Amino acid sequence: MQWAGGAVARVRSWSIQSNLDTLETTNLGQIAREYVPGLKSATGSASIFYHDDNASLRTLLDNCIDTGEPTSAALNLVWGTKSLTFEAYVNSVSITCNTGEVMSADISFTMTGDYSSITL
Amino acid sequence: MPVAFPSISPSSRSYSPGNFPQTEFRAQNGALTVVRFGSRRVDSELDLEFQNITDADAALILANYEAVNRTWDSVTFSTASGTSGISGSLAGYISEAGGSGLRWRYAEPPSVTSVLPGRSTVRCRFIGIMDGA
Repeated sequence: MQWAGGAVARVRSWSIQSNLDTLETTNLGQIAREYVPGLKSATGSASIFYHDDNASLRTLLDNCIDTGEPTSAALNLVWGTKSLTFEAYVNSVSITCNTGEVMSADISFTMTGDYSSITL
Repeated sequence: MPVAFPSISPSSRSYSPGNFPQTEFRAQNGALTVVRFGSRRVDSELDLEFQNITDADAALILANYEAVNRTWDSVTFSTASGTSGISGSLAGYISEAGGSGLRWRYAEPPSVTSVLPGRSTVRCRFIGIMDGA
């Protein structure tokens, strides 16, 4: 997983859900529903072990926990030879700290605009 | 010369046959007196909604609205447009072609709501009038 060009270390898991809205165009002369494609969207989440020496993770969290205006950044999800790249906002961060455990951050993100590149 | 509505099938339709012209008088004792002015119904209503149609089809509807109102004219419907999906005498009612003497006119300008690039939802309201001309 890469955020704003830098690899985010110690990613425990990530997931993405891609959606396509459908617009119904069925009219009264038809006997089956008919649709045309609408808007695309994608949301996802990731769980990351949190180390304060991880600059790229800090950059990611800075995009959500910020006193200024949040900005989007390029998110690149890579598994093997496959990848998805798109611009995204981090819209939720949950940082957990338990005694005897490594700090972790659960983040969720939302794609803005279309996919930059898809290799599936 | 009535103008044919474009061949676009609606996604929803509602129809009301209208009322018979009359005036009612209610006496103080509750008795009702009705003066009936005619034997034919008037002011029927037809609502058509065209969901997520192409912008080109939406423009055809607007052009039809202009053509009908450029002069005092009326709209006719066919099975390819307003009476799509129904048949028999009900289609006759909805197209007001069953001898009612009513003619469809736009009750108000069509409303166009843009949904997506190239897609719009259009709503048209018609009223059936007995033209005195």
